[in-house]
Amino acid sequence: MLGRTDRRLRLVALIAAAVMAASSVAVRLAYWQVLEHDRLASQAHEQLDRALVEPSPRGTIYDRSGTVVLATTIYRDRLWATPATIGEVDRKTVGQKLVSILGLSGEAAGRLQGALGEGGQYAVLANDLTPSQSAAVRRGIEAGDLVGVGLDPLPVRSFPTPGGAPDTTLASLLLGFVNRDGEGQYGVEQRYQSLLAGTPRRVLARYDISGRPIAASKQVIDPGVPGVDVRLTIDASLQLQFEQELYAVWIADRAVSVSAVALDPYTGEVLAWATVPGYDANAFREVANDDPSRFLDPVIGSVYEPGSVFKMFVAQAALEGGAVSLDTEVNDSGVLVVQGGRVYDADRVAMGKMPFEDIVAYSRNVGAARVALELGPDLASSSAILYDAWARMGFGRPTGVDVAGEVGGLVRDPSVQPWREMDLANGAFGQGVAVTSLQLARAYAAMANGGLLVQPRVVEAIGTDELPRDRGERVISAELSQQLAGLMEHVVTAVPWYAEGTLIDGYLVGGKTGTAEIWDATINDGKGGYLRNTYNFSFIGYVGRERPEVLIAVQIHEAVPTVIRQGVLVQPVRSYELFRRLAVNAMQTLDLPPVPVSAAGSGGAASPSPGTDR
Amino acid sequence: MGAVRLETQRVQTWASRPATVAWTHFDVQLLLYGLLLTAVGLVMAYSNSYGSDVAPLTPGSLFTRGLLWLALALVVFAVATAFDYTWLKTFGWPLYALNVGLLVASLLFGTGVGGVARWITFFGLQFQFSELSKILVIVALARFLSTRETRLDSPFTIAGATALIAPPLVLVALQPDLGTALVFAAILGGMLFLSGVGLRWLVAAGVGIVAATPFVWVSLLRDYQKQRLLSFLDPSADPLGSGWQILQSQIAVGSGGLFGKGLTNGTQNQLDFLPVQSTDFVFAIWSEEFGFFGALLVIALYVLLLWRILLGGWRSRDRFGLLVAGGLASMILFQVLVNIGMVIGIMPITGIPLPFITHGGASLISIAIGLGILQSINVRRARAEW
Repeated sequence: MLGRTDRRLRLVALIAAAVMAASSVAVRLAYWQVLEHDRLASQAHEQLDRALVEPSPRGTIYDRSGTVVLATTIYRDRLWATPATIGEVDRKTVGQKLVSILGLSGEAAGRLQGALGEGGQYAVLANDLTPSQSAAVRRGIEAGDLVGVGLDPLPVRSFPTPGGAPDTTLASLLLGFVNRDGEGQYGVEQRYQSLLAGTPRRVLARYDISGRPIAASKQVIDPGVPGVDVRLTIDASLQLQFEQELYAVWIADRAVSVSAVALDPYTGEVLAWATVPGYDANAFREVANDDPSRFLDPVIGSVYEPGSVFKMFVAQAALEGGAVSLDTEVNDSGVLVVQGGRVYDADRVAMGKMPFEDIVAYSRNVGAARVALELGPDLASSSAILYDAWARMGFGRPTGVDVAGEVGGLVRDPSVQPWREMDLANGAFGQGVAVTSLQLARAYAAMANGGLLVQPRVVEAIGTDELPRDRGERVISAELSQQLAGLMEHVVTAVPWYAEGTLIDGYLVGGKTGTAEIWDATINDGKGGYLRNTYNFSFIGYVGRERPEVLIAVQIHEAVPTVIRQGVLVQPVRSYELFRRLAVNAMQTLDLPPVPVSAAGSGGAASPSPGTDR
Repeated sequence: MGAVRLETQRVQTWASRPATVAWTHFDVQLLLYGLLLTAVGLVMAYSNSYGSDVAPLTPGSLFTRGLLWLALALVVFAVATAFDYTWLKTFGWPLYALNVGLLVASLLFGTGVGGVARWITFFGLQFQFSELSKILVIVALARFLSTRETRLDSPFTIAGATALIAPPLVLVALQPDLGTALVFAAILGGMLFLSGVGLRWLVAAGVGIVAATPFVWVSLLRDYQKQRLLSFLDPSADPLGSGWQILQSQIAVGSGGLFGKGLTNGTQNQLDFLPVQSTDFVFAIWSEEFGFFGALLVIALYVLLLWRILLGGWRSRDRFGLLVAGGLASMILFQVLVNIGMVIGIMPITGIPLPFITHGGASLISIAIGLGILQSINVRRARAEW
């Protein structure tokens, strides 16, 4: 039996227990509030105060004239909601109103209703509202019909100038686009990302539980640097004409793509840079979902076997080393047996002995191969000479143009792995190498401009600072350049069908065609082979009043021509005809009126010696 | 017959002494500590309504509602003090019946968040009868145990007390309000301990409870309750789910530091990072805004209050008074420990309110009744010093 004394003891025990419990609570509090204070305070700070990164306005991209806007930044509203702050019934009616304002249906409407219905703290319901949608939402908020939703303006890249083909924006592949994170993707937008974007404004802001910054708490810690405007070397009207011409040819020739680049051969400034099909850069998301490979620019982003346009480099090497001169007789025997195989002319026809300039003009594979094999005393030195000519002209490495996504191409170095005779012979007419259109344009520019390899570029000025003009690097002598420019003129004047399709009254024109079969590594059970009846057609040439003034490289990629017979292909628009259309446009747009016929000779047919103007 | 005689005697005693004599035994300190703790609650109500849609000083805010409840509580306290507590013994059974009746009514007509049946609304005021039930249970147990003076060493005393408390406990657990059910159990344990029941039986009962834990886990606890207990054991395992509250509480308390961030400057509170700021986690807000010293002050107030309550029991002229004081102290101690323990991460999350401070009229009124009874015991002890 326990007495009263014991009960009193228990009372003391209870108060002692309370004191002990209080002490342990105090110790725990001291641990958190004194020892761990700094860590926990910074944790509180982290979840409350975050640096808010607000993108600076992105620089505008202008054309050469500085008046045509190719890319700019506009603001579009993002629609967000704080579903947790509105009741279940309101969520339904708000959802229905928003669906009707945004014109959603089916799955999209369900997604919006779902995002509201889950009742989270914060949800983004829609991006890039049109101005009329934004206005409707704003009216709803003011009227009190829409609760728990709001709008935030966000920068969106806009490409306001339509392109030459339907549903495209001008120079879409050249410019690239800007994703929602404000990062330029492909082209100029990617290459000049840091300049165009500037540095973002950094603001320290206090965030509430729903993750939204509290406006009153904003504190600028870094004002940021606004993006810089960029002025391109591209002429918007020439670009538009190029795209229109290319679009017509793309349709007519049933090609996979058609590209053309026009550049000033003396400075490397690109005047037009077009590919069809392009895309609507304002709707890049759909392209991305549909087929992201359409973002690749064939001008620099993919390589191809150039074919006969490469014969000019055999000429370059042969004339430079004195292996032949322009009038040296070369036998075109139709077929040539070399170590490792046979070389045929495209039409399997032997045209017999002819001057070397006609070998190039009539694009005789056998003749070109024969000259290539005799460039040096033996196979190794001949290979080295031809490879050196290519390397000096910049093949096998990127041109360094200021556009993202350039590839370097593929040219095998005979000093690494010696060429067989067949390799050398094929190389003479552009087989077994892989190059880009821009590399070809630059190399031909060096032949046309007096022997300087220039750096192609598409940006004329950054902000108000004009970029310095590239003076180029001498790769061939001025004399050889003159000879080669003359040879190009000979090609388009001596051959009747080229003359018919290419010459322009009152202008100096020269160039070289190329037709190449397309290697496809996936056919013939994976062994690879050339596609039947599908070809890449190229023409690279210059046009000018008294000297080459614009260099244009044209590529009709994977066109399906009508085959008349071996080596004779007919298509609605040939590469050299496309060249002429573009050249005429270029001369008109750049305000270079034709020279009176008496002054420049009658289309050059009677003046086989080129370069008299220089 | 006997009751009538007793009453006559009591009236004579009461009437025969000057009022001042009785009021010298009124425990001013007890009232003071209770008022200070209530003031802490009001300050928190002010802070919590500061950033909300209803400004603190407008009608209907947490703060003005708190003031209203305080006024009511003072009236109730005064009435309970003036009321002779020995009547409670007389009306033991009717009060018990009232208790069970109110809890049954709560189950039948009560409303609450998430399908629970806790509050009964009358005259536009919500009242949670399980709070009042705690006081009524204390009274019932005190009455029962004080009649078993000679049989305290019998296990049947424990069994009887348990049987007495079982109906209200089960009714509350059915609401479901596990927290209040646990408070009932704590009251039972504390009062048995103070009544002088044999320690071996208490130990045996404790062992029995531990042995029953697995059964409770498997069959009685709901998933969200298990989740709370698990996240208590490892809060970082799921920082955005159940562990969120514990983590946020820790951040709030810890970032308060020694002196706190100042009234209404508690960022975790004002920006709603802490859930249920005005109820379960109110101590975290207090610690954030008033720091370590502020927290110590509140803890000291509770210790002082418990001391005054138990002192009242010590001086009580009868066992009933002692047991009421013991029950009240057990209830407050348990609730404070579990609530603050939860806030500082040494107890699992349960919805047990912090006495005086947690916003809620029923809790405050009930405690006022309890303290009033205690003061009634104090002022009436003069006749026979214990």
